[in-house]
Amino acid sequence: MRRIGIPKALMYYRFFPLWSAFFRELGCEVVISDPVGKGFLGRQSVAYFEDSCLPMKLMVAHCLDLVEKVDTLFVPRLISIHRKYIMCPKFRGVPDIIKLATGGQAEVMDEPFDFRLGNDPWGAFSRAIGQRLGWRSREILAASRGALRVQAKFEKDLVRRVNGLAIRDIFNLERPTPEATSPAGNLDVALIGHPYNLYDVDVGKDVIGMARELGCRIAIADSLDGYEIDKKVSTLSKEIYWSSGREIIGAALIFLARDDINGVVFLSSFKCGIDALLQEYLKRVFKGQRESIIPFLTLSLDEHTTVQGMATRLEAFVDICRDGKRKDAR
Amino acid sequence: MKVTFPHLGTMHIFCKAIAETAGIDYIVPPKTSKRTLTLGVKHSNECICLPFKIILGNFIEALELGADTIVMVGSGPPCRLGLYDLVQKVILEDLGLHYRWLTIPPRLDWPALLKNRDETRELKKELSLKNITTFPYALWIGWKKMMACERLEKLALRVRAREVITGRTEKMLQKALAGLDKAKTGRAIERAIIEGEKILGSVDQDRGRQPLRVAIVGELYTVMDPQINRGVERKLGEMGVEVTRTSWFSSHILRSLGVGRENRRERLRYYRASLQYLGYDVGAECNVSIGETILRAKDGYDGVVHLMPFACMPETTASGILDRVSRDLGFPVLTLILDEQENEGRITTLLEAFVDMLMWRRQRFH
Ligand code: SF4
Ligand code: SF4
Repeated sequence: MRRIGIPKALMYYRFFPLWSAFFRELGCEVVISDPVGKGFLGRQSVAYFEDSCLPMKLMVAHCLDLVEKVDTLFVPRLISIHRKYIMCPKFRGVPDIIKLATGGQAEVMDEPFDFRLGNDPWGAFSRAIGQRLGWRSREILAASRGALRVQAKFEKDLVRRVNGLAIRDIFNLERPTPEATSPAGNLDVALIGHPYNLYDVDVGKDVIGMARELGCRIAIADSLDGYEIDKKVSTLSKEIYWSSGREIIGAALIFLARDDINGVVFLSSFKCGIDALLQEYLKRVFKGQRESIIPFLTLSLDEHTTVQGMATRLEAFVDICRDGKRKDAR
Repeated sequence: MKVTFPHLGTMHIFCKAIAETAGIDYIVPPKTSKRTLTLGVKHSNECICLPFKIILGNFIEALELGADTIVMVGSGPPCRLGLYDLVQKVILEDLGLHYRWLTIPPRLDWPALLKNRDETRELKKELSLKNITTFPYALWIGWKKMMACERLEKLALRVRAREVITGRTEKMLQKALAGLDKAKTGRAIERAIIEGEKILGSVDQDRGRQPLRVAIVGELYTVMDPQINRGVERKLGEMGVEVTRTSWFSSHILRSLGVGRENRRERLRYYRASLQYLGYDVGAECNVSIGETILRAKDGYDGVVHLMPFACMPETTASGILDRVSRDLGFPVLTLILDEQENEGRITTLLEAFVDMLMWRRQRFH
C-alpha cells in the first residue's frame, strides 16, 4: 500500500477531511505528522524559512518529520481555494522549499490547485493526483465525490466540534461530532484568524481550549454565511484579493455589528504579511465604533509565545467582555 | 487642489514635472528623513513592509504642508502592494487628516473604474479644461524626464565605480539631476541630459580599474529608493563596485502597461531561469530575483546583493531559495533584510565584508 504523508500544518487545518478521505478511497495509507512541540527551531531544517512566519516554518518541520515514514509527501501548490480570490503568495513556493529541505528523500506531490480555473477545479485536481497514483477516471471520480461529502459534513459540524471537543480531536475524524453544544459558557467570543492559527497547538497554543475554560462559547467565521461575508467585504474601498484576508475582515465586521457577540479575538502570526496589514485596518475600525462596546484583542503568535502569556492576556480580555455584557444587560 | 505623491527614488522629479506642465498645484513631500520613517513606523506595526511605512510618512508630511490630494499608483495581487491604499486611507483618517485619494489603477478595467467613480467625478469639478487638454503633453514630459533621470543614474553607476575621489560622483549626479529638474520643455530636457552627462564626465576616473560587477535584486521599492535601502547602491559603488539593477521606474511602468518588447523579453528570460528552482510565479519580484541571480552568475558577475524589507512575503521565499542557488552555483549572494531600526553601520560592515570576499575570490580564481 502506498503511504501518503500529509503534513499537519497550514491548510491541513481546513482540508484534511477532504484530502484524507480521497486518498483512503484510492487505497492509500494516510500518514500524518506528529506535533513538533518545542525545540524544533534548534534543527537545521528550518533554515529554509528562517525569516518566515511560524506556520511556514512548522510546515518544513512537519515535512521533515514525515519524510522517512512515507513514500510520497502531499504538498499541493495552493494558488487559490476560491472562485475569485487567491491565497497568500507564500503558499506558491511551498513545494519548492519542501523539495529543497527534504533533498529528494521522498516524492513530493505538488500538483497546483487553482480554484479560479475551469468549471470543475477540484475534479481536475483530483484527476491529476489519481492518475499519478495509477487509477482510472471512474474510480477517481467516485473517490473525489465521496471525499467532497466527507468535507461538507465536516464543515457543517465544525462549530460543534470546536465547542465540544478537545483541540487535538477537532481534526481527528474518528471522533464523532458531539451533539448540540452543552450550553456551558455564558459569554460569546468570536475567534478569527487563519485556520492554522486557530487549530494548530504549536501556533495558537490552544486558545480555543483556554477560552472555553474561561466560560466562553466560541464563534468562528465558518459559522457565518460565506455570501454575507463576501458582500460585506466588497463594500470596502478596495477589493481584498486574499481569500483568507476577506474571511478575517468580513467576519470581524459582521461580528462587530452583532449584539450576541461579546468580544472578538484576532489570532495573528508574527511576520505574517497579511495579518500585519489587516491588523492595522481592524484596529482602526474597532476604534471608530467604540460605542458598540465590543472589545477587540489581537494576539500575535510566534515561536516565543508562551502559554502562560497568552492565558494572562486572554483572562484579562474575558473580564473586560464580561463587564461589557453586564452593562448591556442593565 | 494640491496634489502630492510619494518621495521614492527620483519619482518626485517626474511627478512634479507632470503636475507642473498640466498646471496643477502640487506639493513635493519633504525628502525622506528620520522623521518620515518615525511617522510611518508609529502608525503601523513592525511587520508591515518598509516601503509602506516610508510612503505613509511621505503622505503625512505632505498633508501637513497643505497638500489635499494624494495620487498613488495602484497595484494588484498577489502581494501587499495592491492593498497599501486601503490601509493607508484608514490610518490617515484615524489621524484626522483630510485629503482626497486618487488611485491610478494598474489596469483600466470596469471594477477599477467603478471603485474610483466618485473620486473621478469630484476631480472633474476641480480641473479646468486647460488642465485636462494639456495632460497628455504633461505625461509625455514626465515620461521623458523619467527616462532622462534613469539615463543619468545609469551613467553614474559606471562612473562611481571608477572615481578617484570618493563621493565625487554622487555630488555631480545630484547637480545633474537638479539641472534636469529645472528643464521645462522637451528640448530643455534634451539639453539637460547633455549637460548632465558632461558634468558626470568631469569626474576624475581611474580608467584602468577593473571594478567588481555586482547586480542588485529584490523588492522593487527597496532596490529603487536609496532611503529604504540606506544607500546600498552608492556604498557599493564607492567601494569600487560597478552595480547593475533591472528595477527602474520605467521597467515597472512598462511592465504594468504590458508594453515594451525588450523589457518583457528580459523579464521572461529571468522568469524562465527561475523555474529550475521555483515551479510557479510567486508574485512581485520573487522569481526575477532568483532568475536574475542564476543568469548573472552565468554572465560572469562577481556577486549579487539581494534586498528585502523585513517580513516581505515573496522575498522571504526568494531568500530561502537563493541560499541554495548560491551554494549550487558557488556564486556569492548577500541577502540584506532591511527594517526601520537599521543603523547604517551594520549595512556598511556587511557590504565591506562582502566586497572583500569578492575581491579575494577574484584574485584567487583569475
Ligand atoms: S497567510 Fe500569513 S501566516 Fe499564512 S503563510 Fe502567508 S504569511 Fe504565513
Ligand atoms: S513585495 Fe514585500 S515589500 Fe513589496 S508589497 Fe510585497 S511584502 Fe510588501
